[in-house]
Amino acid sequence: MIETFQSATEQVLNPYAAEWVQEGKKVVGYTCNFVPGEILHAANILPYRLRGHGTESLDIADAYYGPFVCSFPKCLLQLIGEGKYKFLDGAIITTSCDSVRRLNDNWRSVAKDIPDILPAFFHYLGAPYKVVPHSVEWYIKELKMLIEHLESHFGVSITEEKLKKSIEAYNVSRQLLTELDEFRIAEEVILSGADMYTVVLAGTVMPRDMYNDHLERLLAKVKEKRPPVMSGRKRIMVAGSICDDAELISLIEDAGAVVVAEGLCFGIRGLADRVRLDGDPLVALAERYMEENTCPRFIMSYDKRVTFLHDKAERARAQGVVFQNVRFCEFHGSENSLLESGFEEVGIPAVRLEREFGPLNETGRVRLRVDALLNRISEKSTTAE
Amino acid sequence: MRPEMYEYQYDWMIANSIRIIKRAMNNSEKELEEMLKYMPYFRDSVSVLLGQGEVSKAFIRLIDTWTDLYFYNAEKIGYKRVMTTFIMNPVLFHAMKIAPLNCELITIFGNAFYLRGSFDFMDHCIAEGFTETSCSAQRATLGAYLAGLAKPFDMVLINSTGTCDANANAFAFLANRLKKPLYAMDFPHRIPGEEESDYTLKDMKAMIAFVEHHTGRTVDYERLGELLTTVGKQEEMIVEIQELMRAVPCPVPALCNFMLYVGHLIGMGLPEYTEMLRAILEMGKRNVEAGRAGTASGKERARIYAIYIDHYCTKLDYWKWFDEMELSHLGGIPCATFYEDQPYLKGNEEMGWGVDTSSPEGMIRTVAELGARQPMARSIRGPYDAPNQWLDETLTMMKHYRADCGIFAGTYGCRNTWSNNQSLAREVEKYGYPTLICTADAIDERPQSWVQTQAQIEEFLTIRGIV
Repeated sequence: MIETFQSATEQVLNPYAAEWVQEGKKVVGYTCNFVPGEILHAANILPYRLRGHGTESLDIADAYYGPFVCSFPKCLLQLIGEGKYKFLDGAIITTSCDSVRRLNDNWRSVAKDIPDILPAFFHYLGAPYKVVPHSVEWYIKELKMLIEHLESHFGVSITEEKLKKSIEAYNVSRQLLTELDEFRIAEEVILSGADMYTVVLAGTVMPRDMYNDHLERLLAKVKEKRPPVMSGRKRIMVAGSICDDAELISLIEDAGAVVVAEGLCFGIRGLADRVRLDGDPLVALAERYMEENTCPRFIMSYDKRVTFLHDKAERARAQGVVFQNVRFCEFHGSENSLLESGFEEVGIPAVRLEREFGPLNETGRVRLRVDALLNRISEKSTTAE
Repeated sequence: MRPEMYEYQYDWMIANSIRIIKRAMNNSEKELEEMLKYMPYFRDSVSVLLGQGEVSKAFIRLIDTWTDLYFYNAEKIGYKRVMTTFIMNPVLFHAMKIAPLNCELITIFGNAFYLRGSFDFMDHCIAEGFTETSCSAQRATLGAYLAGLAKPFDMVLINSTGTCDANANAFAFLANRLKKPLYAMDFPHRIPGEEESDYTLKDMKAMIAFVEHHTGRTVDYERLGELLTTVGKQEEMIVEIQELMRAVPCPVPALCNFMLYVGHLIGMGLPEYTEMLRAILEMGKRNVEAGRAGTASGKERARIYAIYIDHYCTKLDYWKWFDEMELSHLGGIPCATFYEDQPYLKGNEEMGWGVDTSSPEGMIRTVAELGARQPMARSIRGPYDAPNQWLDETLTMMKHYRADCGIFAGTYGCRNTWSNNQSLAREVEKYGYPTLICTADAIDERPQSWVQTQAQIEEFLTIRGIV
C-alpha cells in the first residue's frame, strides 16, 4: 500500500528525484522545516529536505565537527563529503540550531578538501528564535532575500500568482495528510505508525504534484474499509528530536505498541494547518512557518508546545509517550524532562530516552526502555480494572 | 546532592567568601599569610585573586559590591532580581532598580570558593531534569537555585538566542521549571547594519516593556544617563589599557584581563569598576615605563590570544600558570568591547558603538547597540568566516595585539564553537598563528583536570617552538 512512499525514503537519491534530475530540472536541498517548500515549488525547483539516512561512518564529519555535537548534522556532512548529495543544484542552510547552522560553515570547509561537493547555489537563511511581530517581519525580509537569490541564480521568476498556486498544492498535501492521520489515530488503527511516518517523510523528498497523486490514491485505498492493523496494542505518542526514518517508530511497534501520534519535526506536527490564501502570500508563508512551528528552539513558546502535545495525545487517545532526544540536542533533551513530568502528572506514563541519530545502533537499550514503558501502561490498566 | 551541600545557602556562601577576602586584604603580607591558613578551602583562590596589589583590592571591592549588594541583599536596597546571562549588560537594570544575576559568573565564583568546585550543583541540575550534555557555565548556578539554595529571583531575561543555543536553552529550562516569566532577546545572524540595529532596538524596547509589566518598575532615564556617561568614561579607560597591551612586553598581568571583563560584565556604570580600571591603568603605565611585562618576574616568554573564553578551573590555577610561565594574556572574546574609540575598529568603524545620552531613545539605542556587541552576541552569531564574525575578529585581534599563538578553550556544551572550531583553527594557522584546541571543559574540571590541561597547553607551546 505504501511502496511508492517507501521507495522515496529508502535512499538519498530516490527514483522520483532521480527522474526529476534526468529531466533537467533543478533540486535544492534544505536543512529544516523553516524553509517554505512553496517558494522552491513556485520556481519549479524540487525542494529536498536533507536527510542523514544511510550513514555508515562519520570519518569525514568528525574532521570538521567537534565531538560534542549532535550526530544529525554530522551525518549530513558525512553524506555530503561522500558525494551523495552531488545531485543538488543548491542548498539552503537554516539557523535551526547551532549545530545545524554550522553545516553552512562545514560544508564549505569540506568543499575546500573534497572537490565538486558544493552546489553552485548556497544560501544561509536566518530564522528568528521567537514569534513576535518584529521577528515575523524579519523572517519575511529573509524570505525575500532567498527569493531574490533564487531568481538571480536560476533565472526564474517567483511571482505572487505562482506562490499562491504552490501554496494551494501544499495545502492539498496538508489536507490529505490530515485525513490520512484519522486512520492512524482511529480506535481501530488502519495505518500503522511506521507506515504513516514513511508517508509523511516521502513528502519531504518527492515532487509535490506526484506526492499529492499518490496520497490521494493511498487515502482511497485506506477508505476501502481495510482491516485494522495492530489491534489491541498500547497506543504510544513519540515526540522529541529529529528523526528522518521510520526505524525508531518500527522499533516501538515491534515491541508491541502502535504509534498513533508523533510530534517530530520531519513528521506531521507542522502539517496540520493550512497556509492562508488571502493577502500577500509571502506574509502568509512567513506567519505559517513561524507560528505553527513547534520546535523548542522557540524558547519563549514552551506553553504552546505543552498544549500542542497534550491535545495531540488526547486526540489520539495515547496511553503513553516516548520523549526521545539525539545526544547533544539540548533543546529537546531538557524540555523532554519537563514534558515527561507534565504527562506523568495527568496520568499518562512517559519515558525520556537519549539516543544517537541515524541507524539504530542502540536498539537493545531503546527497546528495553520502551518495554518498561509498555509494562507501566499494562500495570496501570490492571490497577484501574 | 550530598547532604552537607545543603548546609549553606549558595548565594550566602559566595557573598561571604568575598566579604572575608575583602576584610583580609588590607592586612600586611605576613598577617595575610597567617590568615590564609585558617581559610578552609578557598585559600588558593584568595591567594591568586590578591596577587595583583591595588588592582586586586579594587577588584575585590567591585565584586563585593555586586555579590553583597545586588546578588545577595538586593531586597534590602529595594531592588528586584532577574536571572540573566553573563552578556546581559547591567546598566539598564541599575536604572530600573533591578539586580541582574549573571548566571555564569555565579558558577565561576562557585568554582573558586567551594571545595571541589561547584560540581555538586551541576549534578543537582541534571537530577532536576536538565541534560548532562548541556553547558557547564549555567549548570551549577541553576542547580543551586533549583535546590532552593539561593534567594529567589523574579524573572529570567536572556540575550543569547541566535548566538548560543545552549545558553538560551538553559535559561528557558530554568524559567519553565520554576514557572518564572521569561523574555529572550534574539539576534540576527549579521552585524552591523541598519536593519539589524532596528531589529535589536525593537527587541530591547519589547524587553523593557516586559520587565516594566512584570515588576512595575520603569526606566529612570536621568539615572540611565548618568550611568551611561560613566560607561563612556570607563570605555575610554579600557581603550587605554588595551592599547598598553599591544606593547612588547605586555605590561598588563593575565589576571587583569579576567578582572577587566568580569568587571565589564557586572560593573559597567558603577564607581567601583572605574576605580579598578584606574588601578589597572596605573599599573600598566608603570610597567611600560619600566619596560616590564605584567608577569611577576617582569619577563615575557610568549603572547597568547584566547580564541574563545578562558579556563575557569577551581583554585583559579589557570591565571597563576600564566604568571609562572611568564606568558602574556592578550584577551579573548570576553575582553573586546568594540567601543567606538577602539583602534582595532579602524577601517571598520560601523562595527563600533558609542554613548548617546541626548534622549531616552538615544539611551535605549545605546544599550541595544552595546548589547549586540557583547561577547558571543557579537561574533559567533553568523557563519564563522562572515565579515565581523569569529575568524575575522580572531585574526584582527591576534594581529593587533601581536600574538604568538592562539588557544581555544570552551565548554563541552558549546555546540556553537565546537561545531566549527576545527575549521577556525585551520584558517588561523594559515595566517601563521599556531593554534591549540584545548580539549578541556572550561568550567567542569572533572572530564579533564587542570593538571592535564596544563600539560596539553605546555606540550603545544613546546612542540610548536613558542616557548
